[in-house]
Amino acid sequence: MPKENPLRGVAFFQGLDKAQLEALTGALVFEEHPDGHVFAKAGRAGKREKDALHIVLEGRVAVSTKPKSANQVPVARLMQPGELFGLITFLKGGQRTATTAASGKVRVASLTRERYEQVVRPNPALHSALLFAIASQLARDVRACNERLVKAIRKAE
Amino acid sequence: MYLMCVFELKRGDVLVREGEHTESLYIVQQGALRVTVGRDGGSVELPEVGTGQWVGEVSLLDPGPASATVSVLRKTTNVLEFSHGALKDFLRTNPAGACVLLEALASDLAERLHRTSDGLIRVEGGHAQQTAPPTPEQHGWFTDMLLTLSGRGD
Repeated sequence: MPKENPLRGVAFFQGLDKAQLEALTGALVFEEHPDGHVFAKAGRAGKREKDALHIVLEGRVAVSTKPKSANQVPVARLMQPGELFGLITFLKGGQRTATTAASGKVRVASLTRERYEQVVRPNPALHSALLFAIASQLARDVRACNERLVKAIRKAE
Repeated sequence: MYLMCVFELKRGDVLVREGEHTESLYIVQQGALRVTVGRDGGSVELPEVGTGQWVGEVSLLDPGPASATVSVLRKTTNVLEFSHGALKDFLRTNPAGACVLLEALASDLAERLHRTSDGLIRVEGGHAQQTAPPTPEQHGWFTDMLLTLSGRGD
């Protein structure tokens, strides 16, 4: 029996046809990581072509932003299966804006900037689907951050 | 097939109400919109949205409750509505065109997320340390945070 595509359960990619899904799968690296594995550290710069976005397939990934002074607290969020992370650095390059680490054992699919340029960008249908997934995840992250900010402001009043 | 609808609105009309479900981006073709955040007598007005500017990019991509109330400020205001459904049609019929739009939206949202996270660190960190109410000198941070919320906190 053929093995089911691991991206089939990712809601963002449900609009992709079989060929597009296979093309995207071929561009990704699938890996398992133990609890505590660090994907990126806030403030560190990486090589642009090696910057990668990640899709959580199983388990959870903790994302925390780095406080700029001792009296500030970090912002943390747990990314669930089907969610994308590493997006700001993937889009903009430069220093990592957050520390991302496995919270328990995780399985992720990763797409480097290099593979994105080689495989995804030349295919408009695939490219637009991935950009839609990236933009939708960012919108969801902004909404979550906004809601938390409103609660914090009301609490501080 | 038209991707966008044009609305001719008059002063005082409410386009979006805070907390209500919304799934559209609104681009001001002519005129201006007022954006207010907060209800129950504690609302704050944000800078107006003028010709060529837009509101609602989060709702366009992630339909859900509106984070602000948007109403019409000028006598004659025309607004273009681009809905979540129209975006999906655009993706299907013109993927290359959709890429240009989505790259711009993603870049804008990445900037906004970065700023909002910074704002959150300041507010939550400030709150953790704060035992007394803010002094008048500290009051400006509240407006700064609302500007961050609106995506116009530069």
